[in-house]
Amino acid sequence: MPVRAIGEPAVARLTVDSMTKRFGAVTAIADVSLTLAAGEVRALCGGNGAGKSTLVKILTGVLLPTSGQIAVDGVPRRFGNPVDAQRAGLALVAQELSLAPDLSVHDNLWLGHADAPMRRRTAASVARARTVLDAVGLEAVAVDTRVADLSLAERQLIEIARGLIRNASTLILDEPTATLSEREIARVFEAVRRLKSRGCSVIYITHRMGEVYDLCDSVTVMRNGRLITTDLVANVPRHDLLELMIGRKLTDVYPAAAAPPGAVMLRVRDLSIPQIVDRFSAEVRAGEIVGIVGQIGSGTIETVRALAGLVHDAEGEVQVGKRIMMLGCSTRAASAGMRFVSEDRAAEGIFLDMSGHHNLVATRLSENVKSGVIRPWTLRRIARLLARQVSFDYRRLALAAGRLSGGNQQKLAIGRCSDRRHPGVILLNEPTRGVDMGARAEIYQTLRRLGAEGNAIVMASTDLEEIIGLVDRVVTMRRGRIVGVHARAAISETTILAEITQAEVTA
Amino acid sequence: MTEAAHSLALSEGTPTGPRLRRVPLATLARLAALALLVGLALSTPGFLSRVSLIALANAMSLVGCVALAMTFLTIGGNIMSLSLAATTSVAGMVFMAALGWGLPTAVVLALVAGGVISGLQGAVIGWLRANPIIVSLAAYALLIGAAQLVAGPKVLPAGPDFQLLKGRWLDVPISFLVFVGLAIIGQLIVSFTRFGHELMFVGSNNRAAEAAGIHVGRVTVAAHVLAGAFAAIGGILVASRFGSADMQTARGFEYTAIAAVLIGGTSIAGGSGSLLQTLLGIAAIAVINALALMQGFSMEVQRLTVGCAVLVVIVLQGLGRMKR
Repeated sequence: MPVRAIGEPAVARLTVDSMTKRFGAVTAIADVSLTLAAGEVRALCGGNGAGKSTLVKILTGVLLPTSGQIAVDGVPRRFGNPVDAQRAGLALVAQELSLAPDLSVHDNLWLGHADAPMRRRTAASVARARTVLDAVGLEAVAVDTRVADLSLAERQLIEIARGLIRNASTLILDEPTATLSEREIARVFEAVRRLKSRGCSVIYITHRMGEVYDLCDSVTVMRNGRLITTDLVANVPRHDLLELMIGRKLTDVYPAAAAPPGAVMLRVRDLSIPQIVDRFSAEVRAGEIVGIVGQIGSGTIETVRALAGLVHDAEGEVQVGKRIMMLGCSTRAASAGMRFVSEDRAAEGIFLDMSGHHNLVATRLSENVKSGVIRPWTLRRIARLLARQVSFDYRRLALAAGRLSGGNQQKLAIGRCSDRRHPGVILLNEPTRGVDMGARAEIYQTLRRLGAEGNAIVMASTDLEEIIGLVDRVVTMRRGRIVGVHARAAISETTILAEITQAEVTA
Repeated sequence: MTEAAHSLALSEGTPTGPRLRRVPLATLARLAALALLVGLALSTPGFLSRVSLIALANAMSLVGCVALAMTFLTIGGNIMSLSLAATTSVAGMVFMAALGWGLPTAVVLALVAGGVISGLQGAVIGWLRANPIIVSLAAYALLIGAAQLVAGPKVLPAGPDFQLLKGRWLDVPISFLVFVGLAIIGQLIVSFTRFGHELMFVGSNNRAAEAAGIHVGRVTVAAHVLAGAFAAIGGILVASRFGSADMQTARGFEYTAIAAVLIGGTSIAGGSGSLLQTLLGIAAIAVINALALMQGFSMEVQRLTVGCAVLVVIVLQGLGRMKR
């Protein structure tokens, strides 16, 4: 479908003109201009710190720009607060779900609406809720359903419908598919296409290359607070887009192992979790990276968590090196040599209000203690060393982790796993969720280096591109069972997709 | 590399910038409060006299021990314990009753009593993941009831040795020396032991601590045992001071202790804090109270002032979080 030429002002739904935002001496975005046509789906790409979030916050009235203008449908607007933006027709569909799970779909849709009815519920409000639900493809969901009873994808669609009920003419979607499985992603895509056909414009923020090309008409790349380019997706090859985003040549994002794998480091036999995982068995050698792939709910995440000792009803035989590990206790897992990087960084992965120093040494206290007494300067030295190993800027070590970008936080979580003297098994769930391309490349390098130091690496990921590029062996899972195991040479996207979805296709 | 560093600088602020901006607000507020207190103290006739300073030191040290105990719990993320003052009282009763066997035995028994009472609560909180405030509320009622059933309304000393603890050394009350010693020991534990560091990790994010392989339950129990022992020392000092022990003498200590912890600057959310700061916090409260007394203000004014100080601290901590 041809898109109206970018930058043609007569039909512009949204115009942003030389937008700049400074925080004190720091410039978050500088001189950003873009024009969005009605019915255009625009991908907004860029690493963490590129300025995407700042731009979005300005567009939704959360931040006031230092200078620059916004016009919606040709009318200049100034957003003093989020309600102004809402009334002008801009709505944000947030990355983290912001629904109240115990309320009904109807109540959630109207929650925070600038013109929500004084009475909680009127015939008109129900009818309007119905209309927007149908518009995003949720015909089967009743307005009275409790949100807690919906699937993750349905909740994401409700978020989109919430934008519609506010009469949004421009929706901003911030990584809407980050937590969804392939089939669920298809539903979100479908909803976006419907919006497009109704003349609704969409700004689609994503780290996933595939989505840019499958869904979007045009793409805007930001880097270091500046707009690098805007073009039709057809004019930007994948490879170029990546390089534009990270700002340097893309030579070895996915490094291969330098040496053949060593001895078997991890042996798992018949690992089961009631209702979730059924007899998972695998062997992983030192230096090897094994990826576990499956849809959400297939048991991949739980398998990794069980190996980390975080699933209390897990059963099975797990051997790390020569030691048998008891399941269900994270401290025993840690002392057996398991190191875990959580899928939920904020809640479980790192200590947000503690410094980088502390975060890096959280698992290293035992070896730096002499009869219970700690030497802070040794810990500091170790933290610096680890920071260097994961290419974390050591000058930031004193900052609270909560002030860092997702990529840097993840480097802290992974840096903690590095221990040259005691190689073990490094377990990662979604290691690059919410991490930008540049930091991803550094994390992949780090994982390879950890492998070279004699660690075995097991990661569960829903990012197929990463799995195909990085791992030496992939284990596919469906409904708690292993479906297939493939060596690096034999990995292809189609086989993996077929294996992890097959049951649902035939059903 | 330089470009990558540049992009980080844009997104996260320069490494030194935010700290420079963040520190002054809290520090300025502290300095201002300190200046105000010192000014008031100097302008109050008789405040710097020997008698008044001794009274001040005495007033600080009793509730101070409980505040130190509370600091451990707060750092560990279990906001506060409402049963700590009751633990203090019970330990005082045990001390008085056991004095017949000599001072050392009595002290040890009181410490054990405090450690066990508080440690059991820690076990329920750490291993069963119970809400710390509810557990301490239950323990509070339980202790008040049980102590009075077992020991009656008042426990009189079974020996005379407690007089020693009422004394002074070079004109400094022994209880004050004990309190300052405890603060230093406690601070060393927090800063320089593995337990201290683990306590901060658990307080900061206990799920992340568990995932990192830290014994969350064990650390929580240890913090409670330590808090119980510190509170017990407070109980010993209180009982010695009054020459008898009952459930009334330490009543209300929790509130002052919590106020001191917060005024001292330990984070309400856990994960950071310092016992020496709590010492300053309790000193500030004691000075406020003494000044109010000497200036002829009523009890209500003292309460009001301390309440305002706590509120200011909470607002400052909130503002600090918003800046992040």
